[in-house]
Amino acid sequence: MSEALKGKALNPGKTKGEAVVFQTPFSFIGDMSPVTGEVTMVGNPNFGKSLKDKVLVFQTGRGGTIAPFILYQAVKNKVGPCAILCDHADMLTLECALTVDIPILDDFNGKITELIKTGDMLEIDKDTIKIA
Amino acid sequence: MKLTAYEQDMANGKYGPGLQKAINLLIRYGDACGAEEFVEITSGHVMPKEPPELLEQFTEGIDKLPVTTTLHPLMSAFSPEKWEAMGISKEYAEQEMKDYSKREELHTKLGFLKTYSCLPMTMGNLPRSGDYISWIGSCAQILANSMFGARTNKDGTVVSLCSALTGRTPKTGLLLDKNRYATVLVKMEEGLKLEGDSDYGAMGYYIGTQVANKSIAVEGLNRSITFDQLKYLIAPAAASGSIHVFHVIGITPEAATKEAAFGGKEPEKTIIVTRNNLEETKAIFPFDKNKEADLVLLGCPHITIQEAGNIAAILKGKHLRTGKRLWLGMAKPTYELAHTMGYTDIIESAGGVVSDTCMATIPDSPIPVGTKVVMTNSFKCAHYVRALQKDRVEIMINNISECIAKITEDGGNRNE
Repeated sequence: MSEALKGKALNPGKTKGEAVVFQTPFSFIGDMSPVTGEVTMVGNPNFGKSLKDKVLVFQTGRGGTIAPFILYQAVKNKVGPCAILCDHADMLTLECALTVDIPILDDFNGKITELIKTGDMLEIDKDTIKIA
Repeated sequence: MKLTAYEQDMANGKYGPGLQKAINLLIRYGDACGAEEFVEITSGHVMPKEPPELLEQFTEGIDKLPVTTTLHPLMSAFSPEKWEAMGISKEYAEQEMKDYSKREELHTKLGFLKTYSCLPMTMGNLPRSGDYISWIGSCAQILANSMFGARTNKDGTVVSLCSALTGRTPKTGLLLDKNRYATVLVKMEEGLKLEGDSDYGAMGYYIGTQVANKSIAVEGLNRSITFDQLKYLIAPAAASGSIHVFHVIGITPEAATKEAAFGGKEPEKTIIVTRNNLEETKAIFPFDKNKEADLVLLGCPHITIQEAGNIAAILKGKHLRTGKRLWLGMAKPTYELAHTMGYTDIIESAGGVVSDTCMATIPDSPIPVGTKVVMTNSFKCAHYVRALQKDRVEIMINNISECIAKITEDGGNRNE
């Protein structure tokens, strides 16, 4: 069975990957290692998980203006995510995605952090997401 | 986004691959934000911590910047000149020096002003009220928007870099009149007087915790308030919260009157700040007179020439006790003047280290071994040091004079 979700494509693109869902705001500063791509949020269910080539799903960003440089480093180290999905993408998270030119979508019909579970395989094409 | 012929040419690559990349990122950013056009900015302020390859890509084919652009501090305590005196590890310094040298070459070639300061308005980058700018740094942003009436969004490191390179930024967010008016009124309880830098800081920090994603206007402050007092009042509101424009009625440019600050509308909400609120806010970083401090941090935001004079007056005839550290964040242009005035001789011979780095992000460097209690006069500094160092050190807040008293004793130079 597969279902499709529609969102607003802030940086349209085509990619696929496994979802890693956060029920908290996320920042590329402090929440992920740009060297290993691992989640560094102590106490979070995703702690230690690699975000390499994953679809990163969270409600919204939580700031840190240097975040675009950190994500750039992660992608250069080949450990960055392949796409970002948010309930509401803040300006800084949008800037991060544009810096490394990966798809970013928000504004879904419902909360994306509840519609998708960690481990779901996702196919992203412009404004459409298919859950395998 | 509607583009001018020049912007279209940039996007098509007529002026080289760097500008093409920069303007196209801004176009996608502007489109996603709902901007309809670009504005020309009058100045830029960027973060000199670019991954060198990113800086090379975005500046390829550019000979000269279109607008005055200053550099922010390095966002750690690391200074190419002072790291050893500050007790920063050699491993960290060697790693940092490599990227620092690569970047500095490009910064020099393109004419970025190497201010390395979070207060660019005090050194050659003074925006006028109504100017469009694109600046990095939560403190520089809120001060430019509030104290100077210039218009910047809370841009990140890449949008501010692209704006400085192209001289353009999308007309959106805080660049628009309608998003700048205050909606929350902040009053002071009858008889409340702010005394000392920690009172001003506590008030700003408290306001930041009470209001999210809005502009506010404070009523009841006296026109005689100094630049430094306004700085300590406004800067921490961007650390504890997400305030847009921090108007001060009768004082800041867009708040000549209450009506002007609120765009003729009634406040949606009124907050009254009490002495109790201020003392509870200070207790977040509790001062304990019986506890020793190992490291005192002053200069967050960077020390002004007036503060340098005050600090020298307090330090005169004193020196640091054994094992204590005093770090002062001060940009080089201020240092030059402070040196001319004889202030830095007093500060340095007492044992203080003056550096043009960032006192709020010192855990990135990291904090020297043996440091257990850090003391500062700055709520912004206390907030970020606590957030970044994951409870390794304790943080106390008090005024500059109490900070200095905690780690010094009477007597001549440290080395005598």
